[in-house]
Amino acid sequence: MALLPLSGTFLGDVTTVGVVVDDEDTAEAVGQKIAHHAVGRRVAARTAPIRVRLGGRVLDPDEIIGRTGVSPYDHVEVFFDE
Amino acid sequence: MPKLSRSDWYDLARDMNWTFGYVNEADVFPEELSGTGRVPPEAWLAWDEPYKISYREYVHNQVTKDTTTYSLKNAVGRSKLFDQLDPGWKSVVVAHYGAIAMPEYLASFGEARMGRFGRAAAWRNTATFGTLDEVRHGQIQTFFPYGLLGKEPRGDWALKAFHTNNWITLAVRHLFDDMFVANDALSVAIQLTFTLETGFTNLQFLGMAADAIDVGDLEFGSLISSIQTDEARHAQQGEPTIKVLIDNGHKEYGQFLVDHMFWRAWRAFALLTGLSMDYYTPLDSRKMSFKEFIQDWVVKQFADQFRDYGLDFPWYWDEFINELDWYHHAIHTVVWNYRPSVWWNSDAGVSPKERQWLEEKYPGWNRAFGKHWDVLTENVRTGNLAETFPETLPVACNLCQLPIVRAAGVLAGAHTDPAPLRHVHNGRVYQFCSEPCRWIFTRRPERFAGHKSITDRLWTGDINPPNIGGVLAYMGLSEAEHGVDADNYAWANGKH
Amino acid sequence: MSDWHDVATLDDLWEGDVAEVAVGPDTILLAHLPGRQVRAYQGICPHSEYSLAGGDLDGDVLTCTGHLWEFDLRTGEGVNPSNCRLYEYPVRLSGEQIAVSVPTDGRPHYNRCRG
Repeated sequence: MALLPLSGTFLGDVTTVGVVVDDEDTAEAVGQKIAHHAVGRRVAARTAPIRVRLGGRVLDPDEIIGRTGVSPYDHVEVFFDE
Repeated sequence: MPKLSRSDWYDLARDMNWTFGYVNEADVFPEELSGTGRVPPEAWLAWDEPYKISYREYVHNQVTKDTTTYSLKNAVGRSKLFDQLDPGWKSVVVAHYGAIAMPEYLASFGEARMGRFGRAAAWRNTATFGTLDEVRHGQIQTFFPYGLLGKEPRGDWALKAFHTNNWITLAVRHLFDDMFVANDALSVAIQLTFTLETGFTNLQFLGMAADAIDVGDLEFGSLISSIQTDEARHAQQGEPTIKVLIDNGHKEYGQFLVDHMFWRAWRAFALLTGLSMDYYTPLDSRKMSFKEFIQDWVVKQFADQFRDYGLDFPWYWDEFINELDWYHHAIHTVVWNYRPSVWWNSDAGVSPKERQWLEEKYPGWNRAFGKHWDVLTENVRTGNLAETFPETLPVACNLCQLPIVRAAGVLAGAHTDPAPLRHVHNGRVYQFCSEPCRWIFTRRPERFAGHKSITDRLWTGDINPPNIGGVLAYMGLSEAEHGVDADNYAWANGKH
Repeated sequence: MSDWHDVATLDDLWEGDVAEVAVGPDTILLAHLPGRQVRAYQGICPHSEYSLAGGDLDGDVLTCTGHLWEFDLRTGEGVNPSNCRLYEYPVRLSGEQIAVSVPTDGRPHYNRCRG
């Protein structure tokens, strides 16, 4: 359990936001934490699942973020998978 | 009446030069403060300002300007003119005072540094007037908003803003520290007077004064005109300085200083003037879009100057021109979203009529930016206001300190990847909004490396509690000072 | 090539006065100097594009209200700064009628100086 600062962009949003997640969070949870600041606020909500891309690779929803090779302040891209 | 014409005595009175006998050149003009050492001392004697003025004439002119402007203020202050102004325009004025009054005063430090460490007597003479100008601008632009306190309590942000860690202040302070508070005399001449004042603010002040008169704000119009006449005179220091530098074989260094500051000036302009012109100024009073203004004035004017002096366009020119279409729209969306965090009332400026104007001036605006405003509008209409406020911070650029909006660049077709640009210096990760911002940082990292952006401060625990409440408190805003929507959401209900 | 245009009469422009007239796209400053001398120059200041007709004429010297630049209207030369002159149009007086000659080259007729 350790705090992990990340920058995240939800595709379709205007800006990149700063978030602090837990390194034990799943990719699914990280995606939701970033989507929280964009979807329904500036990006229209959809029913599609939310995915996370780190360094060009789309993470498996159950992957633990701390075990993906991520470093603090890395950038993740979050998007609707459809 | 003087018996001689000015040209008969001017050079003699101005050119206070002598040969140092007891001290070294380097002791009188330390390079860190003067920055003029690339060019030999004798070569600086060619420095000549085109418009000449004596101290007697200067004082006479300034008294006239102050008398005119203060009389107008006294007359207008007793009227109801300010109450009748458009709420968006009031935001222009309140934002301007907070962001500009203190920097004008701080600019007197830069002018005074040229007045002491400029390598030509003519330069030091002109800079002495410049110092007095900037003291006047600092004072008049804190006094005028002081007069508004009864009607707009946040007029005191003219003085207060720079003493807080507000995110807009962080951006403006970082810029002006770089430009003149912590800069040598040569760089101040090229970066403040040539790049910012000649390139941007002289023109902006002309346009702003005209807009002020158009919306009926006689007080602000008169103030801005009065300041602009001083700017035009002391901005003259840039041209002779860059001429001496280029004539002595240092074009490359001059170009570097211009390239560095032109980008930074553009960033500040996009924030302050971009939002004012395209969103805050009432539709009926908009004479041109921000993009047209930059194209007609800054681009044309600078194109002429670059040619005249044998300078090239900055290497990022295409990126700059491309950003005219989208960058400030993205910043506007963020500023409105974070409206409690600024000391003015953010004007959404997206009523149906205004959106039509935006689409006309910026074809594709609806596709790239209208979608966000559709969601925001829907949230306002359905009473879901909470969703129109933020819960975390955007990631700020470690150079310009503004939100990284490459994501909007992707929507506008300017970028393919929304990820911030990165640079690692002494083990620390720095993030940037653009190649020019990263380039400015990496050319002289020691100049910028110690600074923390607002997002860094959140991440590293300077802001407590690390939530939006903690952020607003950290920025120095009491609840009464939080910016609110300037039109009380009339735009969302189509009633604007 | 150029064309002569009647632009004003001496009734409109008394000695010591300046006025602005337009001929096609050209904005022209007319000045009536002491001794029945009429001159025509570019109407906007070469510095920051203020209208020169709003300036103060003292003898032969016009001071622009924009930034107090001074021009000698007898010659069109800049007084302060001295490295800048106004574009001059030929003037013809026939009785009271003032005519100005404007080149028909389709180019702008003004000088620009910065400072």
